[in-house]
Amino acid sequence: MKKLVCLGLVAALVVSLAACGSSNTKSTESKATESAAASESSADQAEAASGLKIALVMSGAANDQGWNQTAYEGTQKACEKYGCELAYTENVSTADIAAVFADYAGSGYDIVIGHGYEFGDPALEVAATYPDTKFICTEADAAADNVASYVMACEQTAYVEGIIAASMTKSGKIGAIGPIPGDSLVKIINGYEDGAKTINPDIDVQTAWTNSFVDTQLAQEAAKAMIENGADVIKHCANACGNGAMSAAVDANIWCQGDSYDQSSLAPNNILDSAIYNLDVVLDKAIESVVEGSFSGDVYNLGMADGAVEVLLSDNLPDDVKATAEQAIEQIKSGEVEVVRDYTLRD
Amino acid sequence: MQNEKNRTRAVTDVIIILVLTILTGTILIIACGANPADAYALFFRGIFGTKAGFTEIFVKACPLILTGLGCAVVYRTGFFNIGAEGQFYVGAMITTIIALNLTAVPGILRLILALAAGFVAGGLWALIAAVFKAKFNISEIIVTIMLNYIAINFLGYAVRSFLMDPAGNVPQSAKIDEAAQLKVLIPATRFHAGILIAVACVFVVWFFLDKTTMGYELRAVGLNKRGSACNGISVMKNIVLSAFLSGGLSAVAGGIEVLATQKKLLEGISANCGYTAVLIALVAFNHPIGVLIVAVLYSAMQVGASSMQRQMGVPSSIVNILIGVVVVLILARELFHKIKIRNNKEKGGRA
Repeated sequence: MKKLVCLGLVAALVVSLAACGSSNTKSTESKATESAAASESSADQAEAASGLKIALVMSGAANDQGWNQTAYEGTQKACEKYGCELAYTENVSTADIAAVFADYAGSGYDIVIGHGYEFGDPALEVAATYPDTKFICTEADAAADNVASYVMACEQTAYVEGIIAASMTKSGKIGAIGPIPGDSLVKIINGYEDGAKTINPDIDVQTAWTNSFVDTQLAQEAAKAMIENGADVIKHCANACGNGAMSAAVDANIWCQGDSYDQSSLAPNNILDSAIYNLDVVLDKAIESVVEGSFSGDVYNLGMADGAVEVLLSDNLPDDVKATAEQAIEQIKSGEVEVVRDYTLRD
Repeated sequence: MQNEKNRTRAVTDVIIILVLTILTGTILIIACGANPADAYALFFRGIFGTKAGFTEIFVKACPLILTGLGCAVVYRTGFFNIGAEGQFYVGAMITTIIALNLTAVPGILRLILALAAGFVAGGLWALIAAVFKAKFNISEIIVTIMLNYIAINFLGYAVRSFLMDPAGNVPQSAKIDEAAQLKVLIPATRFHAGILIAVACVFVVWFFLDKTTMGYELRAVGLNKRGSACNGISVMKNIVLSAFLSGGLSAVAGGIEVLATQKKLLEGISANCGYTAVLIALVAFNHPIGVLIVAVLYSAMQVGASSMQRQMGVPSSIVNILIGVVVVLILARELFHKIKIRNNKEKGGRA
């Protein structure tokens, strides 16, 4: 009897432990009904149009107010436009990607989208077995007959932001804060530095990595240290974590530059610009290529000319700097200026 | 006569458990606003519909069989090892290090060496808790859970530093070269040679526990520590031995995940199978063959549920709830029969 109670207690403990663990890795959406409803409604339209079945696989939650939500909304938009049926899986851990991909491809999905760098390798692995399914990865570097990667040329917006920062600084010192030094973020920081150096070759660009996407405190401390070192413009590309950098700039009343969406509400009097990444444009282009039958496996870099990325200038910018920035944007769009895509971490 | 009675009772119990589980599942699916018939159809199509889906059951079951086996071995000795998760990670790490670095050793030999080193490392990791238990009588439950956190977080550190793939900035190790990988046996699926290792381990452990003197001693210690000690069976030796075996088996599960399914080391590679293993051992009554069956059934449910969730939007957490229901029912069945036996005895006494 005592042994049995003990057994029961251990079982309860284990179940709760497993539950703790799975809440951030394997657990699935509570609003699944919503997705079922969504896929049903788009399925109705599918009969009228292309009727492709699309699956979106994400590493986090579809309503995370950032990275994955933009992908979910973008794919949904494209699905409505082209009359495709959408299914999605959230919170897929890296270890599970290949299995999820294979399951979708095996059940006859036409397009399987993996949102993030980590989806590249599993896509290559699974794609060979399912030649009839097109695999599309964002921000990855995987390419095969039926695998295409779409990368946003964020270095272009960073380059323009660097020009703006170098034009605005009085101390000749500017700061850039990134989350983790991954390829798609290193190229932003490097592009920023390159842009700034076109205005002032001797400019001091201070960089810091918070190693977190969410901890605002870390970005705030990094920004404070830079401000103490004399930096008077702070740029971040650190998702939610970067909000700390914005608030540090507001506290010190210096300039700051936003990222991902229009962040002027965070620092109305201090913001110079926000870099905007239009993932919906990227996903639209990717899905369009399959719908139109022009799909070919490659790594595509989509930049300002494609409307995939843009710099939103704020009214805090003086007219001459605004003109310089707009000129740079035009030059990048026309191809006159080519921003170097540099993935190597600089000191 | 008595045996036959037991058997019919077991069958009716299984049927009752199945009916209750399906009933709960149906209610939950309806609560999600989906059609249960469609959901169950997708559930079974996920399992039996495609070759990839069907073989995926065994891919998923492989680490569960080994970790479940690991748990079953120690629970027989009365040692509650909740550390399979940590031992899994230690094994995965050591296996990766050997497979990546001993490039001078040819493929198949390196593979065996890597798995063997993982086995030993996982065994030693479990020994920490066993020694604490045997020497100082410190609760192995607490120690093994704490050791899990150390192993999991150390892996996080490792894949961001010395084990990180030099070619990328992602927290994962470099890819293990093809020579040292466990091969895929059925083309166009993920069914790999590691699954055969897992099944072989089941029979080796079963033979060891049920047919050898050492296995008998292990079980004796689990049944009655004092009785064993009085009969010259060393309690400490057997606890240490079973813990080492248990840690080793879980570690091999980690090694196989690295060498067969993922081909590199990354965080979250266990998908919590170290915790699921405890459940599997419990439900299988710590019998090696039972572990094999329960792990395969559990994985089948997972595969079917994932497919149901992906295609229909029915949350696969429903299956986690159902598994909870099954475990509770199986434990309740035990309790129910024990109470009945006691009541019968009391009645018998009076009569």
